[in-house]
This record gives sequence, C-alpha cells and structure tokens, in this order.
Amino acid sequence: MFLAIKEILHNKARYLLVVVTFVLIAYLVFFLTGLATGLARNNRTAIDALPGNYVLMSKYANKNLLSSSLTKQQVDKVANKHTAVLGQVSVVAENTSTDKKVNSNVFGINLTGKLKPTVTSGRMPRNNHEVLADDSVTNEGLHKGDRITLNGSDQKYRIVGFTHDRRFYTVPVFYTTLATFRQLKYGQANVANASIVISTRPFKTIPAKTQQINRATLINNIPGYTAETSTFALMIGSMIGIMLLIIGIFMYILTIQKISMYGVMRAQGIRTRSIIAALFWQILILAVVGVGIGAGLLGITQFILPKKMPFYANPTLFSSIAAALVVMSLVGGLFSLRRIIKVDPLAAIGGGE
Amino acid sequence: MTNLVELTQVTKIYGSGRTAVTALQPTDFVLKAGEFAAIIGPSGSGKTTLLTIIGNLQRPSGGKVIINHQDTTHFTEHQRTDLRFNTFGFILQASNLIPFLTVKDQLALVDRFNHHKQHKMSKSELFDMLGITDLASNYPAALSGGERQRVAIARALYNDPPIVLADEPTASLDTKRALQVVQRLADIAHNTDRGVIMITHDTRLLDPVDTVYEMRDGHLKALPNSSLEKIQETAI
Repeated sequence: MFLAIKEILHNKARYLLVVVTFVLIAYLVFFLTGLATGLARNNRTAIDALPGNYVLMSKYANKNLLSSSLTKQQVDKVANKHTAVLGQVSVVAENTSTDKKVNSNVFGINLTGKLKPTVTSGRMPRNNHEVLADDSVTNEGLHKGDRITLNGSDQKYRIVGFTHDRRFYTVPVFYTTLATFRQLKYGQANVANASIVISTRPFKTIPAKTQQINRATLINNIPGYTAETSTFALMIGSMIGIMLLIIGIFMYILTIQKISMYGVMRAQGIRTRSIIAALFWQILILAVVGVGIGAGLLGITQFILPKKMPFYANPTLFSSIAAALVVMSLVGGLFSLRRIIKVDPLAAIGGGE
Repeated sequence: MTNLVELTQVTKIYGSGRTAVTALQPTDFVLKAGEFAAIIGPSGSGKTTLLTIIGNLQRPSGGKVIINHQDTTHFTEHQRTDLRFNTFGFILQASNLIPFLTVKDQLALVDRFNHHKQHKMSKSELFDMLGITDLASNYPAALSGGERQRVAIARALYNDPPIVLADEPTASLDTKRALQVVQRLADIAHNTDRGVIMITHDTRLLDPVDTVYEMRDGHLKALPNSSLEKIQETAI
C-alpha cells in the first residue's frame, strides 16, 4: 500500500486520468441501472404488491394480464378464502376542469378484500364513484379531491385518497370497485367477469380455458418488459466488461513502463508478491475513489432529475454494481500479472553481459 | 577473517550446442570480511556475469557458490530473493532509485519489506556519513548524478548487508566525485568489516582497493601490486 499510494501521489496527473475513467464509467453504469430499475418498477410495482404468488388467467391471453378475461363460472370454481379477484382495464383519466389527461389503469377490487392497497393519504373509496390513486398522478396534474372522467365517461369519479408505488404497464393505477371496472371494460356493471384471480396458494382446480402462472411470469409477460430489462442488462453488463478492459489495459501500460524499476526492486531482494500487492492496492484505491465519486455525482444528479423521470436508486443493487466494478477492475490487473512475474532481476544489471 | 564469498570452479555458459558461449571459465574466488576487491577488464569480458552470480541474480552453469557460509547452489527462487534482501547491498549504475519515492522513502521502503526485522543502521547516521541529510525530502529527479549515487549507497547499506556489490558505481561521475565514492566503499569495507566488490573500467580509482582482479575472456586473474602500478601508469 505504501508503494501504491506514494506512486499515485507522485504521478497525480496520470492517475487522475485513471480515476476520471472510473468516475465516468461508474456514473454511466449507475445512471443506466437507476433508469433500468425505475422503468422496470414502472411496469410492475402494482403487481409486486399483489398479496399472492399464484395467478389464474385466461389461457388465450398469452400470459398477458391486459388481455385476460375470466367468466363468473371460472372465477366461482376457484374462489376460496385464499383468493381475490382483480379486474384490470387501461383507461385515460381526464380532469375536465383543467383538461389534464393521464394514461392510467383501473384496478377493480373488492374494497375490503385482500387486494385493498395501503392508503398513504386520504381514505379508501366508499362507493362506485370514488377512486384511490397512485400518488404519481400528482406529477401529472391530478390532485386529491379532483373529479375525473375515465375513458370519456359521463360519470365523474372523485380521487379520495392516494397509495404509493402502484404502477402497472408504465402508468399509474386507480383502485376502485369491481363494478366500476366492469362498467368501464364491458359497458355494464352487472356482468360478473374479472381479469385474473390471485391466490396465496397454488390453485387446486384449474377450470377449462384457464391457466395458472406465478407472479414472476406475469411480470415478464407485460408487453415490452422483458425486452426492455434485457436490453438494459446487456448495456450494463457490457459497460462493466468495458471497464475491465480499459482499466486492465491502462494498468498494463503503466506496468510495462515500470518493468526496469521492478527489475531493480527484484535485484534488491523485494519479493514479486510485494510488487503484485502494490499493483492491486493501487487498482483498489483508484477504483474505490473513482466509483465513490461516480456514486456521489449520481446522488447529486438524482436531485436535479425531473420527478417524472423513471429513475430509482436501489441501494442493494447499487452496492452490488459498485462491488462488481471494483472486482472487475481488480480482474483487469491480472493482465499485468504475467509481466510482473516474468521480471528478471538480472535485467537491473546491464542484462548480464 | 571469515570468508563472505567463496566460489569454487564456477562457470557460466550461455546457450547450448554450437552456439554456446562461455562467459565465465572455471573460476575460484574468495572475498573476506573487511576486504575491498575490484574487478577490472574490458566490456564483454564476463565481470558483470561474475558479479551477478555472486549476487544470486542468476545461477552458475557449474561450480559452487557459498555466500556467508551457505551453499546457495540449490536455493529456490524465493530463498535467493530473501538472500539478496538480507545479505547484499547492490549499488548499480545510475538511476537504480525508485523515481516516485523521496530519498527518505527509498529507505522507508526497505523497512516495509524487512520481514526479519534485522538490525539496520540508523537513517540519520547513514545520511550523515554520506552527506545527504539535506536531500532527504528530494525525489531522485532533483538530484545530481553524484548525489543519486550516494543515495544508492545509503539504500544498499541500510539493511546492514555483510556484502556490498557495486557495478560501475562511478560511471556517471567526474573524477573527483568518483574518487569520493570509491573512498566511501573502502571505508565501508575497512571500518565496518563488510566485504565490497566493485566492478569498474576506471583504473585511476584503484588506490584504496585491497585486491584487484582482471577479467579477460572469462578468465579471472588476481593482479599483484606491481603490475597494477604499471596499468595505472599506462592509463595516465
């Protein structure tokens, strides 16, 4: 560590470049990760909040919640105390007094049942003309007490409360009664269809033309979800790989420049192990400082980002990405290992005449 | 007087078969404690080869190398590295200092790697002796050739090695400085009972030397004092 620090401090400009490289790559990776997490969460938080891991849906729906529709007979066959019925319909909510239109979902539920969301402000709806909204609608100009129309309905619905982190298919969710859902989806409140049934336990009977999937499958089949997350994963993975190459090559070049100095050190009886330790200490110091500054910059950026931006910093995920960056840069140091091991102390003395 | 270095029939052959080059013919050599030996000879004659074999920087092709009463013939790389650290002080040609360490830190580095915690000379004592106390916070790049060489000597002696090996220690110095450096090496041998071996081209520097050897085409020959004077006269 002594050698590592002394060298960094003596060659500030050179090592500043390495740190700047670390900062930029770390910042980019963190930013992409935050964006990917935010976008993914935009698709799924309402599903993550479902109380059961098992989902019954129409077989034809291709595991896509948006297309599933179960009949009353199918629902009745599986209904028990572990299940709950959910109706989903995509809507446009409009505040007619301000002309604000917001793409959103309606989740029709039994207001006193298992799917009842946590109210963070206001109260639960008490009738078919009240809704509980995901609080992100405030960023879109809808507020508590506003009266909105859904899909241009004549009926107005009042926002009576908010819940938090309930978005599906990238847009916010309005919770209301199953009757309102049926009115919006089927044009009348007295059909008994629903979209899916959620259960905390595996379904014992699977009615005809339905299938059971789990929550993860449901999420992965949200249109565009898997394509989006795998694209981000590829980008982030590539950036970490590029990091390995850049740092590895950088340190390799610096090592080659120091070969004759290492020769002298070997001649003086300093062990190869100590020289290698100095290299990895150096990478560790540069990586931790660089990634740290990158994370700090991201922290600042987070305050500047517009609220509508789907950016989400997950501390656990960010810590593992930071650890991956540091580990990968240490792996990059392996490029230089062979050169250091091959250093010949003889080279220090005229190459052995 | 104990023998610090004992070579018995040591040879070095580079390459093999028809391209083999004998750098060192079978050579016997002894260095006693308190002795200052010099090896002179034209370049390519094998003097550096001999020095590197003594310093355990490379293995001989044949013969026996005994350093400080240990037969190093079958030492592992690791043992040889530790032997170099503990037993030898190397003073090499110019610029064998680590560029990013101050004079003080060149020696502090030795502390870092001194796993055996053996006795060392105190830094201030060494710096005083070599007249580099005022340079302690300078980087090598800020020093003159002579100053650098004195720091290298301090670095070599800091571990209190019984044997000091100097390869052309005066190569980058003017005559006055060169004489000072050689006189210091002589003092080290005579006052502290170390063994010192110096390789040099410069026959003007041989006055303080106890034993002078001449290397020619891999043959090592001790020069009697009379022929030494002749060499010095022709050089002048």
